[in-house]
Amino acid sequence: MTLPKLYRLLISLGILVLLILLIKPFTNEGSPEASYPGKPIKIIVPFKPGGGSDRIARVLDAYTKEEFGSTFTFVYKPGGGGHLGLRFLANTKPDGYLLATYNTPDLVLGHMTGIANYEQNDLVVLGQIAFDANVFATSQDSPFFNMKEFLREARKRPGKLRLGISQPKGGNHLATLAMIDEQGIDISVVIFAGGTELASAVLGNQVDVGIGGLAPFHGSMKQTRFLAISGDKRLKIIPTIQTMIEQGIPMNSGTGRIILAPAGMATFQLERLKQGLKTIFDNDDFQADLRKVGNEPSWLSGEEVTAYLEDFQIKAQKVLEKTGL
Amino acid sequence: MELLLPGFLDLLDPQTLLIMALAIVGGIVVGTLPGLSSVMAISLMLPIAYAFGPVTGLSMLGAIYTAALYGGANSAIILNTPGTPSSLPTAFDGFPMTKQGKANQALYAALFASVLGGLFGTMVLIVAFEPLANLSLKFGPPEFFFLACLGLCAVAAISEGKVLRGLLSACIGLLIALIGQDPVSGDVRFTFGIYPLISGIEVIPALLGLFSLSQAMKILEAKGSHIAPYASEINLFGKLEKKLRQSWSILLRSSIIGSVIGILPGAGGAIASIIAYNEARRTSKEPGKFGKGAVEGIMASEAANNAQVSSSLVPMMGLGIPGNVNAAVIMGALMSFGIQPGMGLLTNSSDIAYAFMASLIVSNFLLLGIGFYMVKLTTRVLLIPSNYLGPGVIALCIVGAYAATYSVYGVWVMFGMGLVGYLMLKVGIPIGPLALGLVLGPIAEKGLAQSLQMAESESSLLSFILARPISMALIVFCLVALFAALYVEKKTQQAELLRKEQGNG
Repeated sequence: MTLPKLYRLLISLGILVLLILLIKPFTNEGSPEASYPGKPIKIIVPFKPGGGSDRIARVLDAYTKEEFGSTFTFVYKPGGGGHLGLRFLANTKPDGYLLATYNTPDLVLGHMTGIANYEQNDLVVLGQIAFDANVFATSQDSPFFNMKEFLREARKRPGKLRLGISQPKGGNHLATLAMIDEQGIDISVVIFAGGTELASAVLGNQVDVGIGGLAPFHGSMKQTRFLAISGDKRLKIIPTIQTMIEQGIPMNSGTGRIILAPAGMATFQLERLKQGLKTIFDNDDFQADLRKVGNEPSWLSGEEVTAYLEDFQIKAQKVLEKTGL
Repeated sequence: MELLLPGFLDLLDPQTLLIMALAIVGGIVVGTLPGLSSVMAISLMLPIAYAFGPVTGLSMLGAIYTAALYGGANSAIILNTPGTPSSLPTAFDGFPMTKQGKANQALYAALFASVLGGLFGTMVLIVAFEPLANLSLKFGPPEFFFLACLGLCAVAAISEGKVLRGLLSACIGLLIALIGQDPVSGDVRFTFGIYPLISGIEVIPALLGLFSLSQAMKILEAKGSHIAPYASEINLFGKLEKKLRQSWSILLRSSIIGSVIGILPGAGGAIASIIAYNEARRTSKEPGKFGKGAVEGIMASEAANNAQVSSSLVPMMGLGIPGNVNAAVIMGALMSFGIQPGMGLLTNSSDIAYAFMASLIVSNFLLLGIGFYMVKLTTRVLLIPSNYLGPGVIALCIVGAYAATYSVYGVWVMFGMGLVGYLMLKVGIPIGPLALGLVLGPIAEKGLAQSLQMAESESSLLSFILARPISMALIVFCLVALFAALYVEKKTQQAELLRKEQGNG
């Protein structure tokens, strides 16, 4: 090594050390409990940008500055139906600065179908901020006006009607297969890769009926006819549409939007985040903003979500065994 | 339509124009840097867009989208590295031109074609997004399958005269595309127990490895001090003007192809530019020139690629169904401003909708002006000596692969595919077809699997397809493309032979 090169190396090393020294003071906090979080929290959105989870996280983000003193930094980690990003969270050091958004019941379904590859106990649910009931939809060209009519026709012409599902091995896939099985009918099932793909298939009459979230249909309400809500109550924006239960078909499925943290975080951090989330949720502006992007605000505490999932898991196990999904 | 004028007036605010100009510069840089994508830039700028309010914010996002898709051409031409999958065909002729010392001509041609395509696509969006959105719904899974097949018919065009090896390469690409989750059953396949492979071989890191890393290794191997000679050409714009005038039919056809495919939700820019490229070659008088530095190839690819930008917003604006991830992020921004895209957009929020569409026209003109000066900067890369450029490209590959996937996994994919690309270059197997298979494989597979599920309700597969006129038309197009490819191949071989004989004699 010639001398000038050595000099250059020394100078660049010197600059590096200086930079590190400069940055260091800002990362050191005084008492951790009082100042937490004190710096931006990263949030994993385990899907591609622009999807439902992304939109909800961004609505939440608009209120984090006021509550936690800093906004989120977004990390998109799509793959494995979201479980790739969650696995990353499960294997991360629980320092309180990495969280994730995800959905119920997919959180436990991934473990039941073998797609998730991490311990279920490695993640803690902080709370649920929205719940989006699934809807059965067709285009306005459809001869059907409710699910009762659709099922009657399906019974008459076994295997001839097509039912689209918005996502493979998700909650509504399972619930729909269980419903078809219970009704004892034969329907051709077509699986799509997400709610927007399902919406265009429904509107283009590629399937006779589709089941998915309501949000992707928001821009085409006039062309869409809703046949039923697969939830326990009617929805405000389509108040005349009956639930499946009202139509005499037992089915109740939907997507809960939850925030997750890795297990093993300090108790004061967990408590701070849970309390902060609830405070944000109770803000009417936040709920209005959630509705703007097409989601229904609905709060459940972390414990309530966990209890719901345990209950779901027992029921789903039976369905999985029966349908062989 | 008469509301378009107030839309333009909304943009006359100097602050808005300044922000758009900055967004264009940023978009070009992001598009040029391998691995950084328009999606990344748009989602990064979302919070800032919210702060600016709807008109300025949306204009900024649209400007980034427009500029980033053009920027992909720069790295494709200078470094043989398609910054985005949709500028893949740009590299096939762009890099050979750079090597011949015609980098300037290639870059300006890409800019002009991008702007013309972009303006065409925007006009399509403005004139008829509502009816076209409804028309796009006629495309179901079988149509997407045959569209992907039509794209795959371009294998012969990009095999550098070695059709059999090109087919082999495309098959390898299709096989690699199968790694990960089955799109329809959700089952995990070909991951060999390596969990991160569940998300499949990501396209951007794979392209970085295949093209950039293998290229960087070649740069370092080569004895030359620079990757290509660089000299400013004499009477460049005179020549270019002549070329543009001669190629108006290619530009128009590519813009139409780009707009039509852009409208289809989920098809993507890569199919648009590949089909446009293949069409340009098929109808060319000298198809043998393609792949060896034909400026027409660059124009076809770039016009289609940028026509697709605005037209990909058609289903989002008309039905609230975003056709790609870029449109999805922009739709998120619209909704956060309290604007519901879809039916009723023009009755409820026509002012903002028209201002946004007008801004896309302005963006294209800004792109023309700013891009013109940035070409001079881009060509400076060629002045960097190879022994600095090679390692620099490798560093960019690593950063880009990480940024595209937010994980070290992407970097491994990049290195793995880089090795594959390098070995293929060594044994003389073209890498373009592999990339084509990788990009189109998932679209074809999903379309096929869903079509088969749909066909279960019909008496036979044949009756299912016969009842779908668009599918039938696409099958005919595929057959035409296949036979034309064989014919063109034979013609170029004959021309080659003739040239050799004349050379000997």
